Amino acid sequence: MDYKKYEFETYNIYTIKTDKFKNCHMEITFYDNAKKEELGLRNFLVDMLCHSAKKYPKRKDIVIKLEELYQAFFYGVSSKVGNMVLSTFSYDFISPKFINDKDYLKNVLKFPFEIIENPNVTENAFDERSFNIIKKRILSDIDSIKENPTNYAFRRALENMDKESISAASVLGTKDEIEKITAKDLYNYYQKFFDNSLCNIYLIGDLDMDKTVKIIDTYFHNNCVKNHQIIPFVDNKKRKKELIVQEDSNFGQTTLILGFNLGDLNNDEIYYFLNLFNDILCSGGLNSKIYKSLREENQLCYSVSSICAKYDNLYYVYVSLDSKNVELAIKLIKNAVKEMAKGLITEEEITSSKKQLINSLQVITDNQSSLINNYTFNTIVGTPLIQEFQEKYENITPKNLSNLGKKLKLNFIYILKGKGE
Amino acid sequence: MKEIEIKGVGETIYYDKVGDKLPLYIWQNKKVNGVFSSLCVNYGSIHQEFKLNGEAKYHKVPQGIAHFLEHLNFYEEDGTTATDFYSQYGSEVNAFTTFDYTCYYVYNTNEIKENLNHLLDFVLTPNFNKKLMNKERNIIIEELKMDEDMPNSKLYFNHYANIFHNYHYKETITGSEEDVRNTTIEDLELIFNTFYHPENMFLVVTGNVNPYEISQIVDDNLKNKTFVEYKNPKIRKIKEPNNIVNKKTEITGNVEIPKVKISLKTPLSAFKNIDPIELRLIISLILNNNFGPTSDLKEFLMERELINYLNASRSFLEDYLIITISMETKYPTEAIKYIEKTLKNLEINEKSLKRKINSSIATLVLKYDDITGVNNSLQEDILSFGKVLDNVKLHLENIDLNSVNNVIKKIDSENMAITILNPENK
Repeated sequence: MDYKKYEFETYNIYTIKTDKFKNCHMEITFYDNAKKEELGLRNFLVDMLCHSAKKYPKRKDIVIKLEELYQAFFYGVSSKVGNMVLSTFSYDFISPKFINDKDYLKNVLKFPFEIIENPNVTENAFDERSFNIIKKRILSDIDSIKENPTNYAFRRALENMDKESISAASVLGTKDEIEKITAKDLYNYYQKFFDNSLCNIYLIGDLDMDKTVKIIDTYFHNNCVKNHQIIPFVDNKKRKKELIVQEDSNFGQTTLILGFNLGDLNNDEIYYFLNLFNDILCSGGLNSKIYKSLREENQLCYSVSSICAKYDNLYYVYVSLDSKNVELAIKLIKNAVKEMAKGLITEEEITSSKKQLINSLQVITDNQSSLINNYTFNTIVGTPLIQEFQEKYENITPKNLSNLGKKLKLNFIYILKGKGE
Repeated sequence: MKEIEIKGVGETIYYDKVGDKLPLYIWQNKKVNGVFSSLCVNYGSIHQEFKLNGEAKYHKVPQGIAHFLEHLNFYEEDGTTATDFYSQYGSEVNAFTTFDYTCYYVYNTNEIKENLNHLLDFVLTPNFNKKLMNKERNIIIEELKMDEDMPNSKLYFNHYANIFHNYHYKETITGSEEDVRNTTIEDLELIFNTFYHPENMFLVVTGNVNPYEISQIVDDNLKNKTFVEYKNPKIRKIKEPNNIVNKKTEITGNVEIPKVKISLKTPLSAFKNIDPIELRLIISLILNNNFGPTSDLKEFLMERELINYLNASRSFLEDYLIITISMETKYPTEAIKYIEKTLKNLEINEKSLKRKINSSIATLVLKYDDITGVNNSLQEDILSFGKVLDNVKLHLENIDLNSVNNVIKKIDSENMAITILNPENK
């Protein structure tokens, strides 16, 4: 796989040339520091741009064009990672070597820029019809959070932790914010979005990259020079004593979340040690410490999961279970974290988790989106490239992990109590 | 070993019947690192009554037993689990149970022989006892409680109960808490001894492998095992009336906005002169055209704020084709009227048909980027048709407007069941 960077005045194109896939995958990524009051607008805008354009006024017209381009896929997503917000337009298209049409590459590359740069706008406002469709859908998505116990519990847990923190803000925005947005507001934001966001394009596939990049440069008109700094990490406040919140719900099971601050971690701890730590503690499936303790030894649950939100400086363990078992589960989770901090990690645990992580590196290199995701964070915040991980994982010691464990501090326990036993 | 050429796609599937017992399907991709192996048992949640060679009476087992067995089968003789074994290689091992079958799978990037051998070993070697059973019972009960909190699951099974009088598709795959509590070790042993036999299973391996090496590994493994004669179990054929059970049912659940499912039930006998592969392709094209993102209906309903979400799917369940439209709507009464009208007037024009056929052909090529996707697709072919579908492209190219209209005419658009899941506080 051949990695290459092409620099332009207002954006960069990063390419990975490989003949491993029949598809090509491109991501046009606009990124910035997250501003709570703009999250809803930004997500709305990305949705809006993918739904309607001047030349393709209805979503149906866009999909027909994609079908004509041999079943290409085009979709946009806004995501919040720590203090960053990334708005990504993803595009999958079949490699030109399978298509007997000399203009195919030009035609297929023209499409996403046509959509992004020529929105369906009249008198400085987005087309009212598409605007209303998207608005209703986002409001419904916000309502739907309450239908899933885990999603709803996370929303409430983070709001209770610190509702001012960017970590507690939803990328969808709030219902009040969305309801107030007009088609004119959104178009104003569209202009600001291009002026303020940093931009990179990522491309992977079996393509003549020099030729492809030249074509992209013809179609992409990104004129505003930006060079402000991205601050990826959120400094979430620590607590001397953990916050405990319990709320009632209509669900049958209870959802329990324990949220930990990660503390001040160095680069090795953030990018390498934390992954191994998490695998041994919880995410490594049935053999992880918490899984064994909660499921195998005490049969408290079907599954228990963890999220390593390193850019938020937070680590969560969460589980669905009967409310009568909550106290025992909290005790067992705390004990497992203590074991990690004390370095009570067996040789077998460390070896099998290392193998699991190294195996997952191989799996990542079989997947276009995962390779691009790694390249994106490498270029934006300096995450190591996938090729650098294996050696680092192999050299991690139990001492490294126990030092990391000592830095974890319990911030909150959140219980969304179910109606069951 | 037989080479099956996937026509017009440039791919080959290798097939072997190992030891004259176990069907083995292999797709080789030398460019990737991973290997995905799935060992499938033709036994799922709907197979609740069966008899063996020479028996007069049917055995009846509790609902959810296929899933229970899937859980229990991970335990090994020495007190460890299959997960313990695979963790030493960093491989991912898991399993799932559906209505029709149980699938155990491993994803690995190294030690192909060890990983594959152990898949055959742990799945084909039972190790049940009452202690393990009681332990796993509690875990399964927590799993089914988790499912009960999912509104889509509630809607799904309630809707199938409105479509099917007798078929077990209306019952959850995990069974109820009572079923799980009532399952005995004898029930589990009976299922294992009857259905976990190579002649009732198939193995699919996709990824960076040498097909001949894989076939040899499997052959050597099976030679070291002793199998009793396959008892050729006969699943009791369930008689299902053609009509639906309830035309319209409203239930409540933990949702903010009502969710609706509308289904048409058509006996497959209505399509007796149509090639079954073509029938599946045609139904997908029709649904995509009438309810998909290029449909006028979807645009119309969204513009009027009548829906937030719309999806169409089709299932071929024993003797019936079930077409289902799922939607989320604040105004179920109005939205249902439009769906009903469209279901009664399904259509496609020449231009759209051609475009959708071409894009479907592109998808046939693109799916060979993903070893998991190819593995799943092969499983689906084998379960539905008992063979690899090597000529889908030709079937797609054969489809014309006449053949599509002929299928549309045969869909029973009157035999309709509607289920609405309303918010609890409505």
